[in-house]
Amino acid sequence: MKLMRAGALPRLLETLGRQAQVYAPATEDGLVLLRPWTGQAIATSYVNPVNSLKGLVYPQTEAVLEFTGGDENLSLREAPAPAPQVVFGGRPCDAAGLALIAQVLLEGTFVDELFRRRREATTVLTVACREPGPYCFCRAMGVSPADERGSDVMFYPADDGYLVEAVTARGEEALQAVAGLLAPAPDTGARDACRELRIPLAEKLTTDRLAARLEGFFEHPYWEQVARRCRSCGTCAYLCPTCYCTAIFDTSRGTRGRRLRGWDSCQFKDFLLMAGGHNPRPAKKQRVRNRFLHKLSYSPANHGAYGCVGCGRCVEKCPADLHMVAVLTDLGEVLP
Amino acid sequence: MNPLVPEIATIKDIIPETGDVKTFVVEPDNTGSFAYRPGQCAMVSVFGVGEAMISITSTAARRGPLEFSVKRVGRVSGALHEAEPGHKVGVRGPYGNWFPLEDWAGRNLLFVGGGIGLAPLRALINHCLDERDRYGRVDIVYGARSPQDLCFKREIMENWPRVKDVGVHLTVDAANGDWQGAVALVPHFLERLGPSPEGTVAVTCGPPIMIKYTLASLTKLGFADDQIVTTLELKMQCGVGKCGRCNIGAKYVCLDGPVFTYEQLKQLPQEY
Repeated sequence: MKLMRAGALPRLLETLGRQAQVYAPATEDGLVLLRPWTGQAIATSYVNPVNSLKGLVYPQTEAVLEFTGGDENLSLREAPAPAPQVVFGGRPCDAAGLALIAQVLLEGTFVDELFRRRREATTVLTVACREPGPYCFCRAMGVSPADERGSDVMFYPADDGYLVEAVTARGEEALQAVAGLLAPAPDTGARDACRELRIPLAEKLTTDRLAARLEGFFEHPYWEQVARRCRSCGTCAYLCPTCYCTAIFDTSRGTRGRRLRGWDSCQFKDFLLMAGGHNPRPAKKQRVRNRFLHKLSYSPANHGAYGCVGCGRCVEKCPADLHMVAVLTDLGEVLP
Repeated sequence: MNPLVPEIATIKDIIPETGDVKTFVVEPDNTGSFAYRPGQCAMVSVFGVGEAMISITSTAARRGPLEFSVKRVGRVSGALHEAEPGHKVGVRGPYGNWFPLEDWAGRNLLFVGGGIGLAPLRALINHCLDERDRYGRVDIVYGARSPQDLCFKREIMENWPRVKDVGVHLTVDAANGDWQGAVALVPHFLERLGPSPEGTVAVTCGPPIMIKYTLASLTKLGFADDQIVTTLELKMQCGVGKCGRCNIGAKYVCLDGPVFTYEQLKQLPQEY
């Protein structure tokens, strides 16, 4: 473990920024967001930034390829490789979300090349949590306030700065570049303080044996009832650090165009609408059910982890109060 | 290699099948073709319009170019229907699983198709008829809205009926002109034909509503769930299990399908 004095943070980011675009938490209109860092004040009094790490590694819209030419002479150019980037200030839950997206996109028969390139070009410097936010429930989803999954370097807040530890080879490399700012230090308990942090909201939720208890629950009238208040706005999916659904679409003008990939949500009515009009999930009940069962049942079945890291963004922002905490609370009562 | 980047391919020929179905003969410009098995699909691009997952209707063992039979229903299929021979499209694949032919040696085969649903079955039927001796009796039940909507007319009327021990049974929802054949919906027609489930595998594809009733009819005829195979279609974007779209419960049609037995389908939520 190494200690970095709090005052050294700008120099750390500046040093890493010589080779990469740096992102850091910034305060804008009273909100904290991860933003490109150009020397501005680095926000420290926040729990979760408004945006998770997702959008920095898995952009809301990105190019797959460019095409030029007409019907009979056409050429393609793949999207250029992404530039290196360093992201400071994300939280362990968001990094764990990134790790889950990486499982989906990088494992299996096919590798998502766009994600792989950007993830490998990104160094994730995560700041572990010393206090829970009012909507945090990470522990209920198997994530800890000191979780290392998805991070390259962990920063544990200490009295006079941060205890710093590399998690990956990429993180090692980053710390070597700033070795002058780090002093050897014993772990004064900063890490344990994060590891042992109580998350009060999580303590009210039961996720024990959830996948097994959800079996046979697909047709339960609960889904119809809870889905009534959904506005199908997609706020939950767009803020979610683990929702990874995308659409692929072309834009063109004259003889040039691009094929883009962008976030989409299974909450939108036309998500599964096929040419010809067939729609396997035309009802709101079906779409809401799919989102929650994907996170609580299908994701554990396919990837061994809940598709939720308990960051609390949907809890805070859903205009209809239809979020993971509400559903888990209901399930605690409805499920056997 | 980015699996989302297609290879540029040239439309070599366009064969009109019906008023709204055309078969596109397509050759990838660099590789000429790729290996695939009956039941697999490919993403076909019209650049500037988009991509659609389309079953490969040609038979790989015949070593020809790729063939896609496409009904004009939406944006991409509409743009394909406007294309001419020589035009460039994109192709990537093959995607999905395939019909479990390995398990079918010595068994009778019953194919039940509706409309453009014959396209994936055609790849399989031609494959099986090319190795005719491996299988028992072959029956092909095929229906369309009208006589004009029957696809692959040369094969259903001439080529397939000529093969030894192959029965082709055609029906239409509504007759017109000089149609002398059956007039019935496919599931009803199938029940009337009454094929024996004994030693038989039934393979069906068609519009979702037809598949639903055909599964029920096959059950009524005594086919066990593991004797019934179908191939599904769902909205797809990536085709490689990443975009989160074509799930039925925890399964993805693009990876775990499109071919499922009825036994497997019954384990899944009824959302397809």
